[in-house]
Amino acid sequence: MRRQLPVISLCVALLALWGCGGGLASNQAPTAQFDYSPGSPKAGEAVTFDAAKSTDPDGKITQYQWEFPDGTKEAGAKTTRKFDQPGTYTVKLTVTDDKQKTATISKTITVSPSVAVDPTAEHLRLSQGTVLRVPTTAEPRNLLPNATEGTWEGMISGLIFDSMVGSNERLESIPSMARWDWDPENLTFTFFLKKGIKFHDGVELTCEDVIFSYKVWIHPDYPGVRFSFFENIVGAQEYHDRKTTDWPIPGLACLDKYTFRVKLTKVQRTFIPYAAGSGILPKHIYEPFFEENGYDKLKGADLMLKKTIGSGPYKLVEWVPGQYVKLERFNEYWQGRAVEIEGQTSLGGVEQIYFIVIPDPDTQYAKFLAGEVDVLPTTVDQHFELKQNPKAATYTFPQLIYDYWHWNLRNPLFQDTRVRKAMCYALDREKMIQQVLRGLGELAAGDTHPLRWDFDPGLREIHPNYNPKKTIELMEAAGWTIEKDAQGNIKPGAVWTKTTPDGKVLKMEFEIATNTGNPRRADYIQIIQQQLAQLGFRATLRTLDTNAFYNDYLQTGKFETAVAGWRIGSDPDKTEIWHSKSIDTSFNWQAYSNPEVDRLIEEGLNYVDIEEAKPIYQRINRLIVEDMGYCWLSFQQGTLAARPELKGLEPFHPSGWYVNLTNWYWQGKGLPVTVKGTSAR
Amino acid sequence: MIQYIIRRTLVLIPTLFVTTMVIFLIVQLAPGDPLEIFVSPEVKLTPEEKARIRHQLGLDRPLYEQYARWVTDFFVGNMGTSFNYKVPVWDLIKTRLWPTVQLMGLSLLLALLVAIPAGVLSALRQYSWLDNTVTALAFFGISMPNFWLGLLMIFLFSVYLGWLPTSGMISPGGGGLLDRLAHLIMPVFVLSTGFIAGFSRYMRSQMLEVMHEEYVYTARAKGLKESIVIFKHILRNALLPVVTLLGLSLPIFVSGALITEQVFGWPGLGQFFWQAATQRDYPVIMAILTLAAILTLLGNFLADLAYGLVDPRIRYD
Amino acid sequence: MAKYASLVTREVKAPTAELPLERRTFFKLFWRQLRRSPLAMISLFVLLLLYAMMLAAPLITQYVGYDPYQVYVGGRNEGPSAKHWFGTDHLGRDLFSRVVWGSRISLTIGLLAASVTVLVGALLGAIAGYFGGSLDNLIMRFTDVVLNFPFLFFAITIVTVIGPSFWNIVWAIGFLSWPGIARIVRGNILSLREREFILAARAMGAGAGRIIFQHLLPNTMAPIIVNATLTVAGAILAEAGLSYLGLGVQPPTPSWGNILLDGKPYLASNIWYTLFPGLFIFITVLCINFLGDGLRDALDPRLSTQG
Repeated sequence: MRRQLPVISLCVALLALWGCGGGLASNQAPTAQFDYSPGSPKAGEAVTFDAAKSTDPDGKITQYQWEFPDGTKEAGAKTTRKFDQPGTYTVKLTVTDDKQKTATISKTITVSPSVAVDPTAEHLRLSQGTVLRVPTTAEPRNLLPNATEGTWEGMISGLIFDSMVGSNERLESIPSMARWDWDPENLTFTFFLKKGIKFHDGVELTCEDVIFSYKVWIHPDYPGVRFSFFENIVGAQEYHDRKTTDWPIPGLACLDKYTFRVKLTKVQRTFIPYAAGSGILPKHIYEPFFEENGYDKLKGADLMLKKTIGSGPYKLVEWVPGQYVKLERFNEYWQGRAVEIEGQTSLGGVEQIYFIVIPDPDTQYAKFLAGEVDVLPTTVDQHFELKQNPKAATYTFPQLIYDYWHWNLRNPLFQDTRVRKAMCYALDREKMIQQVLRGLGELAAGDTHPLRWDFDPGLREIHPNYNPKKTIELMEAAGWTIEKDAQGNIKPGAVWTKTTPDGKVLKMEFEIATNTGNPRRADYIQIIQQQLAQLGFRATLRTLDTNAFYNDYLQTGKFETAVAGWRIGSDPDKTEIWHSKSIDTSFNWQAYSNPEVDRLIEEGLNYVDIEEAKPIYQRINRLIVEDMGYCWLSFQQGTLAARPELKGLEPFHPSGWYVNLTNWYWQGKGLPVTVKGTSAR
Repeated sequence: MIQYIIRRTLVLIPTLFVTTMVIFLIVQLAPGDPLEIFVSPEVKLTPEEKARIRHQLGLDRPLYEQYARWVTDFFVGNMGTSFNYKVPVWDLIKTRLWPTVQLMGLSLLLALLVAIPAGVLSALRQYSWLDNTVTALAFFGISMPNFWLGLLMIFLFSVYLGWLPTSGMISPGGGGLLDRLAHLIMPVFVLSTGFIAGFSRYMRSQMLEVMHEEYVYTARAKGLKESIVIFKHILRNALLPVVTLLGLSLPIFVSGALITEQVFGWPGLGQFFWQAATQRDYPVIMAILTLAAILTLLGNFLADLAYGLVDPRIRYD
Repeated sequence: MAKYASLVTREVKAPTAELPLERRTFFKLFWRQLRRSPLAMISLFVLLLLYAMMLAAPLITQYVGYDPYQVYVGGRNEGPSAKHWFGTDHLGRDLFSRVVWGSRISLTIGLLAASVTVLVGALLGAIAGYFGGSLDNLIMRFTDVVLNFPFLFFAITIVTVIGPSFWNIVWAIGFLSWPGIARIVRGNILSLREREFILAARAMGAGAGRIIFQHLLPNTMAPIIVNATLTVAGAILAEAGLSYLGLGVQPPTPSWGNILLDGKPYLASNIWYTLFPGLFIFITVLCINFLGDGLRDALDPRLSTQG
């Protein structure tokens, strides 16, 4: 485990003192000195450390010892090392001379975020005085962390409020504002915050701010959607239920200004990505308001208008209701290197970002073509059109959303696994991807994504793939019959029927529902209907208002079959969707129940180490695919268009195209800071 | 007359009461839920949490109680707090009202300016090529859904010609009067097509009716100048259905035009209502619908009075 | 009767309601009047053609050889060609057969919704206007309430609770669109009922029903017909709007309205997609209007022989 920064500095000071004192006697102490190159390293770049400048006045140096912040040690006058994450690192060199005197020097190295394309210097120069205009489909209403509800809100909030923990492209948690230790015996997480992180108003972020932020989310007034992230902290439930008003609760403590300790009641792997991944609020801004007015007012937009202050790379400067939100780069952002250019301090990323509200996707497209926005998340068709357009650069990237078709298992028609498998075998999913997504997608199987650590490539083999023969075999095995012609083919228009023991005749007729406003799913259900019809399943279609679809149709179990989708989180916990206790209370709408899956889901929660958890989640995925819990359809690739001069977009983070937005910059020319008039092109 | 006004005003209050009650019932009984705005599987609400939020929002009370509370609050000027924004509803509506009033006012004005002369001209030259062209144009206007016409104009004037801004009310970073006007042109035009069609058709048909009245023949027989006959005798009497239509149009000043506002990214109440509706933000929905209802009643009341002014034969009893 | 043609021009100064030399049956007369307007006759012909197309839709699509529901017979978003007369949609379905089939929904909804609207609206408006007083008040306040019905929520309730079916759509559109015409008819009748010929009829002992149906309504025909034609267009488009909410006819059933809606994303890349259904709506509405004008002239009570 990495060691604590303050401790290192203390050692350095003591050693230096001792070394000097010793030197006054007979043997003079050596002088430690080292260089590193490149002078301004970037994340992932190899840095060479060279101690050649270390000297000894009365002898020679016999031993070099390097200490790196992750606790590892190296010997030798020269060494190289990579820093995977941007941030500041302290490297300590201890030299020993032939008479066993030592000297030590520590240097702090700032590692800037990696930029995919360009040399840093130019990148920074180009970002000077530039704006980026991004279309959003809805107006943000709440930007406070853990109060956001839509993608757009989360995106803007993420730029304003930074969190202790981030995630990499495999969705593994990585240190951001803090690194952490896990003590499994005491169920304790200890977070070590970086020093010198500032909020937008210049006040330093400390452990007190973290404690306050947790108070907001554990508070009885917090209306809950994300309380579950925090519920396992010792004392959290009691405080949330108003059984006690003592704050801080026993599970939370500041060991010092930069050290935050959390004690849990049980193992919770998701604590790191979800709870510790929450943005931190400045206590000095929000506490007086929170104590006086309560959570609702804190969430209220009137406060947001005036005081949305975090420690993220961008700060909110303007909010025109229903029209746009304007962000400005925070030049003292901790993660990223401040550089002097033409007398100005500057950071990576564009200087100003406008999030412009354009509800209609087709207007957004026009707006991009007219040069009024600089990026555009595109539909598949727009993507292929813009590919031909020299004024646009097009990108594709993996997206963690899958669509699925599922059956209501309360309905006697669908209770037989063979029947569900038969229906899934009837679907030519490859063809659906070709036709609806124009090839920009891949088959989904199981509740995971190839990019996430619990992915198992074998799942695709066991998931049914189009095979009409199997459909017929399975249906017949399950006791269903259908009219056939002389060649043994299903007669056009025929429907599977079955007579139950009590003499009732069941017919394979059902409804496929989906929500309106999602053209992809509307296309899917039409194709599914048609493919099913060829194999003796008669489906009618129904599209419903999104809110009614989820809250009144799925949630209440009124549906027969439905096409819907999930966004995959960074943790594979499956309690909410696949555990039988989530029937009628959470997202297990179809009433799926398998005692072994229940047991495995509960067991999986006990592992914090993902390597240990992996086999369990792969097993769960296998079981739910074998049980045909869903018929998994597809992952759609994300498509994005941008002005060709906008660079640094790749690599995209799987959580969204906007996550690495701080790396973007304009090549050659950016737009002037003030956009005036109507035609900005 | 005065008596009539007083009587009508007195009737307005119970009507409004019944109207709001009906609105409240339909809105609340419609499937859907203000809770659980859909996020992702990692975010859940336990049944206890749900019950608690329901309680906080007062949604666990019987409907009549909720209505009673809402209605008493509303009539002392308290529209409640938005479930979603957590700020007073009126503060939200305020920011959206002006854009809608601007858009609707200008569209209605443009429609009247175009439709009345068009209706008069096509009536005066019934079945001429002019009349038929006006008719065809009017129907073209209502046959084309607003989203279609709007997008077509955006592609033509913003994308290909680059003359007008595509959407929104002002350019990012703000702009002067010209910038605002440029943003108004397309949505106003698109919205007015619908009004123009209706107004001009009613105008034309009513003109034709009135033109065959005895008093018109009498006026002509008296040797009055044709222009006087048309403006004083025919036009005035032909305005009746247009007045009714205008009265019916009053509520659009708060209900806005959902689709047009959506296509042009106009930050008005129509779009805002749609957003509130999909999220079942009941206080916002109720406030907008009730304001629209008040304006409807008011508009019809004014139209009733205007009948008397336009047509002196109408008695109020 | 030759006078009719001159009546419609403004040079005419002659009084109306001349007694005809011979009595004719109402319909004969009506037909004769109508025939004099070429525009109305053309419109009638086109409309008959459209309705014939609607009834023969299965035959037509069978003849063309494309099933309107069959996806990916052609490529997606193709322009018109000899194979696909109107091109194909985003799922590669033949647009010609979809537009032909779509007429079944659109023409029926347009006509039915307009009929419901006119029947209910005109009747209630006439009753309110003629009787006045508290009956007027009652009907008009009821109208006000219906006018303020939250359509969106009403629609959502219907689709989730009752289910989206063709008749529910007709019913919903019809139920919510009559108040406008009711108000207009009432406004007109308020004025008409004070006129001499009504006073005369009343003095002659005519009953309320007779006065309303024989004297008042025929004289308000102009706004009623205008409203009816506007309602046809409104209903066809409202169905598209309802599809957007999920209350319209459900996919994959085509209607002109939902083809327009489906084609919206392709407005810039494939104008044919929306052009043809749009054109059909336009032609239908225009023809209904011209026919309406002809009807109005033919029904004009001042030309009536019953006198």
